[in-house]
Amino acid sequence: MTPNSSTPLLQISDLHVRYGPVHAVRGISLDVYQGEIVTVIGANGAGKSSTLLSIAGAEKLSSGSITFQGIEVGGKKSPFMVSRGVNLVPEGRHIFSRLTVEENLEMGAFSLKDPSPIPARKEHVFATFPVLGERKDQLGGTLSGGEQQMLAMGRALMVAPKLLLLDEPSLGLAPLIVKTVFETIIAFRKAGTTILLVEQNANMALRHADRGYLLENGMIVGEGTGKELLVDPAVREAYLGA
Amino acid sequence: MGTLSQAVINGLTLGMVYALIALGYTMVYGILGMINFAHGEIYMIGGYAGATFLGLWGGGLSVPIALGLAVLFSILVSSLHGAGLERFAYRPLRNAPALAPLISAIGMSIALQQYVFLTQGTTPKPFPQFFRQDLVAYEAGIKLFGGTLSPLQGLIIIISTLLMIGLSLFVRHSKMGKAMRATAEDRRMAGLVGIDINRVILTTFVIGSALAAVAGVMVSAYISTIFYRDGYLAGLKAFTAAVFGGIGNIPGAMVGGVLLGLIEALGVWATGASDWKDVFSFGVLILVLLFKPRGLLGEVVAEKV
Repeated sequence: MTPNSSTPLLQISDLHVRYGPVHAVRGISLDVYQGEIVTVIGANGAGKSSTLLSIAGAEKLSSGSITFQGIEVGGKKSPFMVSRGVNLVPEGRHIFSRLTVEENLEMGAFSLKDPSPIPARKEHVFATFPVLGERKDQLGGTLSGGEQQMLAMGRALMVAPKLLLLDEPSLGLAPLIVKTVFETIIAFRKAGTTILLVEQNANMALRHADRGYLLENGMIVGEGTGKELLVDPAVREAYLGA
Repeated sequence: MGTLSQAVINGLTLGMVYALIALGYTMVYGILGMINFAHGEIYMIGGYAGATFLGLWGGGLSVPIALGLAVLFSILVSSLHGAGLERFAYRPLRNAPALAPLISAIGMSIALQQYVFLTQGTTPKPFPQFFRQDLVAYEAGIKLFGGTLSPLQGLIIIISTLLMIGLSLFVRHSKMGKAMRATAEDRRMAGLVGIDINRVILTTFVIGSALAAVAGVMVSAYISTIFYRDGYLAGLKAFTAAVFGGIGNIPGAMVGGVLLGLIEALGVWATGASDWKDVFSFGVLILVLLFKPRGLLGEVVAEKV
């Protein structure tokens, strides 16, 4: 897919993340353009989550640069990133299980200085995921895995993010729910949100993404359009089990 | 005196105070997973601040206004100390092993005691009598089933109840209250939705300290003195109350505090051994830890993955 503009919405160059002696991310560079769905695929421990966490400001980067809308944001904390329009839905959803569904959504909107759009956005989330509307007074912890994933995504939508970072949204979900999750991701993009998606389910991710990067041992080892990667024999062998 | 109803009245009064202090322990534990062992000192400092305020500036004022201002002053002083503890003694250790902030808390407890000892003198500070005499007059109290509820006891019970209702509403409905619950459950995720974690934690310490300050002023009026060592035992009792109710659980601290006060008073009433009241309290702690280690209201929330 051709980029929509000359400067990427998100540009990462030579990103390194270290946890003590562990060098999780070893010089990643990638670009995400406005309106794209970009996926990063790789095995467990390849450095996918660390990359997303450092973009979202929840993990310190050791070196390298992250620019968002042309501005250097490397090392900024989460509250800053959220206020700029970058939102992470982490692996394992991390629903506030002792808060109600509705309170979870309100927490998603915590960073909004002006609360006036909150009711309309709640309604928008309930329209997108009717099951959340039906269960808005239930505690988050009582939802099923699929419902929790929807709540996690709905919570992120409360700030109308420009860039949504999704970490393993399909993990542990039944195939039918996975399908719904990906349909939702497509719908988010249509509504104007750019998406950077990290997945172990390479098949689903590549089929829905405009472009993809392959991550191995903290380094990018390949990139291409979703379609190219889907038919690449090396990718098929390593990630698609074919 | 000496009747069952008097024991219940006295126990309820004491229990309300335990509950107010216990809330500070349980809220901090809920968010940071640490026991702020210097919390008893925050309570004690609140008592000193109130008594000092009345002694210095209470003279020309009417009793309710003087007491109200004394409480506000002590809230201010205790909150500053509580916030200082968080900022300088605990925050730098936020990511250290759990033992480190615990040792820091014990160190701060001793440091605060000694600092009050050095600045406030070696004898108990009397609570200005002028403000006490009407408040504790049993003749003016309400007779209840052969016991007497003094005006001060009534005031302690009413103020404590209002504060606890206020806290419950705040935690349940306010934006900051919800952020506190979210942070208590999943600090990292709370950060990811844009909550300023440090501000939430500081607010938690300020609220806990303010509640302890009110308790400190009320108790020093009730027992007529305040001393630098008073925070230690009161803190330990309130901690027991928090564990009794389920540490980390706000309604648990309220229930635990009230029950602990009643158990102490009824134990003394039943045995006539007032020297043994601490044995009843800490006996409760041991029994709870043995048979219901999560406390009365502590429970595991089912989490589906």
